[in-house]
Amino acid sequence: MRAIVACAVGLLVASRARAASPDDVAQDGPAPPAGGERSSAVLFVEVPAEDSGIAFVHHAGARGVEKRFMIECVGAGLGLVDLDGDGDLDLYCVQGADVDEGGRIVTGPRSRDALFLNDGGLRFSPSGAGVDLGGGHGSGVCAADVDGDGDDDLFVTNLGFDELLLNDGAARLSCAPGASGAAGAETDWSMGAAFADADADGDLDLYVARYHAHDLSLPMLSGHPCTWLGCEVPCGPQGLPAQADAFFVNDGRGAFVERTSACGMALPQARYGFQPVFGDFDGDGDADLFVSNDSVENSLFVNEGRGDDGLPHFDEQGMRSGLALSDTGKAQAGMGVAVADLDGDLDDDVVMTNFAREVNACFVNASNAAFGPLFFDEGNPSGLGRPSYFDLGWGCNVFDADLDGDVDVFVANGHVYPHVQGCNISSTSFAQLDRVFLQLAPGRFAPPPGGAGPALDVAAPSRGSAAGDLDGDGDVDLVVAQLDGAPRLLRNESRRAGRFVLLDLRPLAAAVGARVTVEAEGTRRAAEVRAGSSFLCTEDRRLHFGLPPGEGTLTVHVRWPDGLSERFTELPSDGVRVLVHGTGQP
Amino acid sequence: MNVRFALAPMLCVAVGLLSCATSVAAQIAPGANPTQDEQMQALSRRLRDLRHQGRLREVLSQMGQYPEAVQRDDHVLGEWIQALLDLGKVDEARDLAASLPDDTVRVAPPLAVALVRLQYARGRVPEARQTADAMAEQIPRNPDLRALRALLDISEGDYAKAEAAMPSFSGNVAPQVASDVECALALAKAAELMSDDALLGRAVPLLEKALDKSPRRADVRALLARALVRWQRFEQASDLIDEGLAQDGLDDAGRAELECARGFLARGRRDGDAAVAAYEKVLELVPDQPQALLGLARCKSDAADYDAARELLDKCLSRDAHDLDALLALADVEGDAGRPDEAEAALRRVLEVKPNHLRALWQLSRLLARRGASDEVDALLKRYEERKKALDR
Repeated sequence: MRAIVACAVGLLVASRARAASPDDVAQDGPAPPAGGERSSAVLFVEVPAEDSGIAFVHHAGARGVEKRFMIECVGAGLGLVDLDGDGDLDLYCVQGADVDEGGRIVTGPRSRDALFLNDGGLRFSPSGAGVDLGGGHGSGVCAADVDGDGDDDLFVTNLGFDELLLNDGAARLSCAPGASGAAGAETDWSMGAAFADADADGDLDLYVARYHAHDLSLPMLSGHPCTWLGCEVPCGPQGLPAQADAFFVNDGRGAFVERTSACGMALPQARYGFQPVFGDFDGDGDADLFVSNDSVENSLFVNEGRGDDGLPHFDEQGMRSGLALSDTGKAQAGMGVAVADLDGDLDDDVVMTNFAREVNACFVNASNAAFGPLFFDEGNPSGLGRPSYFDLGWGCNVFDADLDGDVDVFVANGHVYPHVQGCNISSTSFAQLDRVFLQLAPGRFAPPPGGAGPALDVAAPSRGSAAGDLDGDGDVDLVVAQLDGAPRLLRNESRRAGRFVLLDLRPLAAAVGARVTVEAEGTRRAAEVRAGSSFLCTEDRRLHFGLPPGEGTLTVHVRWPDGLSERFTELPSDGVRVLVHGTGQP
Repeated sequence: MNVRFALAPMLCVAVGLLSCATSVAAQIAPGANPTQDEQMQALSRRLRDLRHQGRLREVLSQMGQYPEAVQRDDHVLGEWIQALLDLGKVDEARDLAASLPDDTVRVAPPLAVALVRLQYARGRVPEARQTADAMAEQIPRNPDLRALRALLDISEGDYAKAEAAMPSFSGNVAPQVASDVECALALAKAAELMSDDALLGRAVPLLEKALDKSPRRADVRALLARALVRWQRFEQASDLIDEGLAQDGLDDAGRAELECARGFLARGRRDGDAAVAAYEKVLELVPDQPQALLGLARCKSDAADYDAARELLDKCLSRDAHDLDALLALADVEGDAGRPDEAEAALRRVLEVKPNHLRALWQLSRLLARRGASDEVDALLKRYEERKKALDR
């Protein structure tokens, strides 16, 4: 987000949209090399709410151009997680809240989140009464088994206290008092959250990204004009005080203690945090952390292991690693994040969505032992950047849409400000088209030549997006949250080029951070189990691999966060395979 | 040294010139028998009045009638040169001035001012500044000179000083001169504002106001169009350019400015072919126009024609080896072409010109990181962080 306010002088300052010059950004060039043209086999079809039963409409304060605060514009994420333990993905929808005339958040029935249990066949039912759900002005949700009881719990981020919803294994959620130590402060505006076993002690620690103070004294049209491309819009984030992120260490029983400074994660200056994602970015086996930040440098916290105090210690290396800024040295909007092996070289790359007039970033991993973590932004060369120049991206998901053995990319788009609609800005609208990028050659992507189906021809103000196999048919579907609207369920009906396998690692708490390599038909693909990604979302934690056509069985290598490496052989494809810690071959 | 006019006797006026007395008679006291000096002074005043009334064509008409006067009187010559400059006819003004003996000290204020204006118009700002400062000691209250010095202040970035002087221009300097100062101020401020995206919005009204007052200024129109493109108002920019190109009497330089803005617009719209066409048209009008060279180079680079892009950028850099935009574009082109050593050389050239250029520091650090040069990467990033901190303060 880009509008800024000059508090000190009480005058406007202008928009912070960057990369404004057409000369600053490479134009659409030739199609990415290699792989050649092919007709699109990718097809997504929207399942209407009346068919899916997902009767939920997000709302955040006023509607349309009546919105005056950023809190009314950011929107929310959602979660795909099996809460009732029946093997399919349920849907948790994060709700906003009303905002009164004075800009105060009004919580109550209208700010209550919603849980829809999967009945199969892409039909969902609202969860029963008596279940605790998030009730604040919600931002995002992250699922993880925080108490080690074998089921996923939910951490819901809010403007205000965050909430921890403990699961009894049957989707009966109950609020943990004081969010078990991780609630934060009433004035905190938490955004994305992510879990990983950062100290390798067998439980899941928590990182919460925070944005900026919700300043009631600075509504739009109050004499403090903030503009984007000359269009008056709500103020933020720049000019408003950034809030510091927080890192919580799990005590092993599901209670958290904040250890941000002690773990080396307190920055000299707070940043406008959006989405944290844990991953082993430097390949040394422990959980590092990438955080996308709005308008300022992104952060990369490199895990340097557990110290004598028993805590994990991190060193911030965003700049040195190249993840902090774009290829031309610009701090971008850093909205959503997907971490995955994009180019098939078995290490994790980073896709990050950005503001309009920036482009999607694609940080390709070139880490090595001598230099340490090292990434290069290949947004434009990868093909993910150029088509996104006018898009404003949020959710971001990497998966093999057509089961051809390599991953593709989905980006949810929508402008942050409804106000742009009346500002006569060319090539810009509030509702935008989401995009699919097909991988044509290793690390090279392009929109499908024939489009990706009618669902992708519908413009909407999309926000967080989560990927997962919702109907159990072996391909990956999508749910896309909307600002002030119903989430869109996009069923994958792509023509399949190969096979698939869905790997379910157990136990849950031990699985997060596990790194998996699948060998099939002479190819190898790698992925990592994560909790917290995209934009304010939690996604199917099971690992989905598209596989080349063939008859052979699979060999799967797993490196668990506790250091155990084991191998599972002779696995058949085209199904869900449960891999239990300690049951493979050394 | 030959001192003309003010210190030397007036030369005889040719027969043809005598007739001009009738047209300037109104400026000589009734019943007086005007001397040749008086006739020249009257003519000079007449020309000045016409310029001040914006009746520039009539100035040229007068001088067409009395061409010899120019040879006789530095006041008249000065007014005529200024009229040509008012009309944007810099080359003609230069030719006229070229007929003057080099060893002549110009003490007639109109001519002295005219020659400084000519230096300014030809981009010779330091020379113009030197002459203007010297003149200011002799004629400190001359309004034309004050206007000229305001123009020079703007060139040198001292907008406040120029703005402080501007209220005194009203009614005392030719409207074209006042307009030049206003446009120069708007252009300079806008260009500076446009270097920071956060301030872009302040450039647009500034340029709109300047164009409102001087609708025929192609440079103002072109810069406004570019600002609108960056503001993503493509239709407005397009209309503005079309309107400018349709104006009568647009010279090649103005047409080139507007076509270049059209190229910028096309790139903004992601229409590479249209951008190439526009930039090529500019280069037909004004070969080696730097903005067109740069824009076309970026188009070629987009199309992966890196050799062509480099050739165009080399042309830019042969005109100005310190052109940072061209150097940065060259670094991008070389990088995209897979020539990291050449990209590194271009970035090092940027840092020679501007040692703390943030983008160059960052991009160079990335190139060196690829080579594994940890220590140098760390040193560059330290410089980056220090510079950033200084800017943030």
